[in-house]
Amino acid sequence: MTTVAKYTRELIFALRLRDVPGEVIGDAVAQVESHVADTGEDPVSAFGPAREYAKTFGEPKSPARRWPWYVLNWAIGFLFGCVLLIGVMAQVRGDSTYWGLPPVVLVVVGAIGLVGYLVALTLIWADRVKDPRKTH
Amino acid sequence: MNLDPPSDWLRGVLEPMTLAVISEGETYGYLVASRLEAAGMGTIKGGTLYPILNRLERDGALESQWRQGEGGPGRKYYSLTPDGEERLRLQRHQWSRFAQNVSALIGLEGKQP
Repeated sequence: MTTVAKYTRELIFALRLRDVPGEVIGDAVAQVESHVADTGEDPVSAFGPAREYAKTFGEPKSPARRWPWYVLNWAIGFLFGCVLLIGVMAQVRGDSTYWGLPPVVLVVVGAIGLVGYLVALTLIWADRVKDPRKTH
Repeated sequence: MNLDPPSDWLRGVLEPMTLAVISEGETYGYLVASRLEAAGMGTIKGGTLYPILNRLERDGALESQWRQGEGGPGRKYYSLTPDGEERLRLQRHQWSRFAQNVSALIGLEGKQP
């Protein structure tokens, strides 16, 4: 006997791997919860294993379309990392300016850039699972 | 004698049957399955029915609305769009012709020479 919560967790994971949009994932989860509440069935016997059911939502995107995204993320991270490192080194050496800027500015820009980019990635661009039953 | 149709027969006609059930009035997944079972189609599993509903909705044949039940997890109500009605009309004609042809070929036990 698989609990509904465990099944929907597996389903979310399997759909994530297939790059299914958050809105569609939320709908799929709500459907499973709704159907099982009506029939009282075990989710696996009603829908089949989560990974199999996830396949009905379409093929996963090919990795070829993802690599520019990875490269871009890596490059932006590398850029801010370099600025931070240069700032720290300049500070340690006791340089009063680097690229015409006080090293502290470089440290702050690099650090805020790195953290800010990470936050933006996870909070803004990550497609969150959206429950269709909650209107707002 | 088990007179439930073999599942591979069902697979092809589940779409027009689902459209036909929804054309009777707004309904949700579990009721569609119950209606099909009552019509003698055997038990239709969620894993079979929902991919069809999802596909029909993606194709624009169905529209849907989630409604909150009392204490329950809510239900997604489907209705036919004009596209869906057109699709059902076409499939009704196709089916009636196909069924006639199949019946003529397979025939009934009593009619065998």
